[in-house]
Amino acid sequence: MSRSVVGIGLALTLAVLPGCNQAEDSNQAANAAAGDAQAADGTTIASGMARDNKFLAAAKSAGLDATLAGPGPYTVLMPTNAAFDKLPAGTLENLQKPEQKGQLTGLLTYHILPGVVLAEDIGKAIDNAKGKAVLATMGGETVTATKEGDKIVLTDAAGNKANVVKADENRSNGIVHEIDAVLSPAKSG
Amino acid sequence: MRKMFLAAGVAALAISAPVASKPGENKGNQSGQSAERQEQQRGGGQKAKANRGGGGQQARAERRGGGQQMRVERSNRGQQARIERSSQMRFAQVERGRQDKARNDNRGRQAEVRQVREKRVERQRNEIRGRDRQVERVAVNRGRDRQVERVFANNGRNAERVRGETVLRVRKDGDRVRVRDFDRFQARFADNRALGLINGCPPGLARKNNGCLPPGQARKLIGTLIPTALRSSFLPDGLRNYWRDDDERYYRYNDGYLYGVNRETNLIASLLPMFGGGYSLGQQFPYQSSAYYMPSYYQPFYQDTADSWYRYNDGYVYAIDPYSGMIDNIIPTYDYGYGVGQMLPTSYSYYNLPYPYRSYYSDNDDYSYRYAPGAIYQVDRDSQLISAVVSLLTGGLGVGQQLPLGYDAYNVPMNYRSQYYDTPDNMYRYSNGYIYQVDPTSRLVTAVIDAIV
Repeated sequence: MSRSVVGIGLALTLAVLPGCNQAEDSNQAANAAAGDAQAADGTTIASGMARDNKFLAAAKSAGLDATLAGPGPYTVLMPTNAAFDKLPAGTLENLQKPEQKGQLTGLLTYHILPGVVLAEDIGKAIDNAKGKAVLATMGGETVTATKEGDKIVLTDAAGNKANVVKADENRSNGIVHEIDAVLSPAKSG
Repeated sequence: MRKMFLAAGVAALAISAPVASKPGENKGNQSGQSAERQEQQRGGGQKAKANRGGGGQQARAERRGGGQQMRVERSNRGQQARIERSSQMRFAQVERGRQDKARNDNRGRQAEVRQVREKRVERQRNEIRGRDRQVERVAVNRGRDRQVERVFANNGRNAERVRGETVLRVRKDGDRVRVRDFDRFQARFADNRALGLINGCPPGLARKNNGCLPPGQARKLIGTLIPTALRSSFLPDGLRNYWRDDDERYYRYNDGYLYGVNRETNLIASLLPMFGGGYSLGQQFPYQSSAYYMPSYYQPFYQDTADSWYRYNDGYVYAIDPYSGMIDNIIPTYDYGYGVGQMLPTSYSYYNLPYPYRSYYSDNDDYSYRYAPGAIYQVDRDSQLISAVVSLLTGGLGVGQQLPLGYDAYNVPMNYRSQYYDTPDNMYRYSNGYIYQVDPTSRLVTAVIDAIV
């Protein structure tokens, strides 16, 4: 089932692209293959998240779940559930209270980038910028991206680091990269 | 030079007739050092002619009474710039995501009806196409992009203001360059304001629970005992669906604030401003505070005009009347987390989505869609509460501007990557429904290439 879905997704993706040049062809193929076994059309960022996904739960509290199901496109740096568990106990529950909505929104929009930024694009930007690329987020602050060996490492405003554990999950309205820590927009961490 | 300038302004005051229905202003930009000059006309009606000279550069603004066009001639380091503008458009909130990056409010079609002051004006995309044949460029002087902008009101009020932001935009086919300088703003405002008491609140003073509560004061209420009078101050109907009393907490409402009170202790646990951060329309804005400058993120969209000044506090942009200091309009910004369950100010009342998003969201019987920088909101028609944030938007890119920080990485959506890919000569970046072309060496955004979402 998944194979045929990938196959259909690939075929559809390649079919709709007009005048693909060689580099883009291989790029697309690589991305479609490397991405999840979900067709690019149909699954939004929100619907692609599992029911118990903590990022999705937080997004619902902030009212951002509709956003992640909207047209986008967005690039989401999604901390895994394990990443949320690393936070001090009770932090996430506290953030989901109504009066913390501003904080929660700031936190979540710090993980959403405009447009579609693939891992390869981040890598190229790092190379072009001689080691350190700056990525703008929807919340207004920036995330710094560097490379350690082959892996992409993201550093937030407070200096905390997160690794990209799974990149380029294709969605109809963007891309999801899973990261292993929660990034913080505040300078004091 | 300046004296002559002021004298001209006084003369303008004396000459110009008060405008009853359509106030407008003429904005002029002049600096001995600056190579960039810009003028802007708003509104229709009788205008005075202002002559200014200085620094070897001449600017002349002519207004035709009753006409809808203004032509400004100015020479800028040998370059001629000519603006044709429709005088209809008010300087109000700029719509983002526009291809023309109409930071400048002054763009509009001839046929456009002038909006009432409280209303927001939509930016028209076609303005960049036919309307403005203005071509100019900004020459940054000695590497410094500090400019001085002067605002002239030609409806009898000489609101000369110098503001300071170093925002640099190139105007080309509807875009505009303006660089401004900040520092003297506060003083001018003090000169020009008309003091008054609104709702019994003296400027700068906080009085609890009668609508003059500034947010800073409001925060101090948290943890205090809820006043007895408030315990029965129930929520308006629309709010009750979103904020329900439960075992831990009950909610009461007063003067624009939602109080969340701990049931056991009756201490105020949370205070949520429902209207604009504690300030309401018609209230006086505490001008004395100096902490109301707009974050650069929003500056391109909220530019002061002679009729409206924009200040920012706690996630809200306030449009205030320069002469009375009263709040005309409150614009929520998403960085405060203004979102689901909160109320949209009533004046924020018409459909104003950026063009790329209109095909996705149109008003229907249940919901209306409204835009404020940072997000597109879905508003429940019955309760006027925000029921969802349907789209997030960035600060946006502007043609002729530097590529902002954070656009190092190529981020064009998948469907467009085959058409628009980075080469040594061209970079492409995506923002808010548009794809922009960027020059790799200068990092200037050179054009809007495509409109997609």
